[in-house]
Amino acid sequence: MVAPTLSAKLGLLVDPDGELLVDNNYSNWDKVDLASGVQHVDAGQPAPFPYEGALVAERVTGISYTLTSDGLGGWTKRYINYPYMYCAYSPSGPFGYTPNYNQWGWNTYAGVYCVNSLETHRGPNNGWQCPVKGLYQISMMQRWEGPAGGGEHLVCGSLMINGADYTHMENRLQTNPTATCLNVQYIRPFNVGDWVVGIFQNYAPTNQLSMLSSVFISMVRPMA
Amino acid sequence: MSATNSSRLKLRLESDDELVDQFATNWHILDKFAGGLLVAPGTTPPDSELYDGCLVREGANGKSWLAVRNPLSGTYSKSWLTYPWQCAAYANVLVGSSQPDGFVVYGLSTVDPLRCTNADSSALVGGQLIPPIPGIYQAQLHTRWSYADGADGIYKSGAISLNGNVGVRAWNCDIRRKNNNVVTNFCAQIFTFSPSEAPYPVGVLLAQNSGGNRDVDIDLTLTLLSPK
Repeated sequence: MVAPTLSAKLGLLVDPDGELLVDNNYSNWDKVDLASGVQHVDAGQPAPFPYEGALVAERVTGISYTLTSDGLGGWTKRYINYPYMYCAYSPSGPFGYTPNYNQWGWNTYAGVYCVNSLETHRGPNNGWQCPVKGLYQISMMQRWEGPAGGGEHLVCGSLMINGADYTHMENRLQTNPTATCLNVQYIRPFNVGDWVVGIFQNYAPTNQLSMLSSVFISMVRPMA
Repeated sequence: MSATNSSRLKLRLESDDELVDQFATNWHILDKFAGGLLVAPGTTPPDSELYDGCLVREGANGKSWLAVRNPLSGTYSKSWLTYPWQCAAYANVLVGSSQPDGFVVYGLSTVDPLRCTNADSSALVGGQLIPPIPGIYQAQLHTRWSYADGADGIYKSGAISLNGNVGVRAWNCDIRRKNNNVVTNFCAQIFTFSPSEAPYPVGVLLAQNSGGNRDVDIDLTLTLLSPK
């Protein structure tokens, strides 16, 4: 009699000489049934039958992934699809002459526009903090308003990422003269914990300008 | 007695009372092909390890593909499901004065690794970015002109070049107003690079008519939105 072994992924009982044929058929078919195709789970719930390479899809969120062992007895998700949108905005504030970049985040979470995001994804200084490693697109708008007849002034918008000003994607506009909007578009990979916040400059020498800012951050492709 | 193989997974099918012989083989096959195959990034399993419709995931790089069997040759090709890819590059260039239609391709010089996903400097060829696979792409161009021109009507423009084609300048971004400081502009374009085309370069077109040379920072990001 040759001793049976267990297969690597599903733990199937492999009995080379058939001595345990009846018993192993019973348990093995049950495992093959569980492992076939995609395992559907509710949002955030674990797969009922995890194994290396298991395909898992959440029922409502559209999130899907495969599993791989973390080497510690747990499982790591490798995402196939991860629909994600975070939207927030800020009230306008009065700004005087601000020749160096200053932070201006988004303190109001706009859940109605969001997909699979949470208000807790708000980052430092009312920015956004990345919850899942991936390639993200950021669309930020700043709407500047100045007093009528106040003349033209230069305003600039850009992003701060992990505490560093990023000016190569900045947008500079002249207010003309009462209101103008500028947009900043940016795509880059983010790791979990990376954060971003809006920044601005205002060259109006005397007039107080107000500015309202909003941001949409969407997942282009998960990388985890 | 005789045995055959099933068409996709090559399960051993016994036709007589030697039924027991097939199990030792088939359990291993069912085990191997359950779920997706996980391989190291960039690895393509040999054809003998694949079946038609097999899902292959490449480790931690986020790429995944289906193995598609050619019914005539029996060989396999990849149908990409996910392919995270982005490359960004920038340069500072001096643009000579020309007429508004005088677009010239200006080369990018440096790849920004912080904005690259599954890409590196090898994607920058001849000052332009090369898409890796067919798909739907988005290109984003930021320009930052540092020379102040105090009169209206000075034309400063950037556009995205596909395969060196200046005919796509309909998507250009112009600055025509006077500027007393640094001015910026941005344009984006979504385009399809089809499987029947050889990889072509995506670059930056610039033109200005100030009458002198003008210094500009250019920054181009090319992102694969969906493989095709």
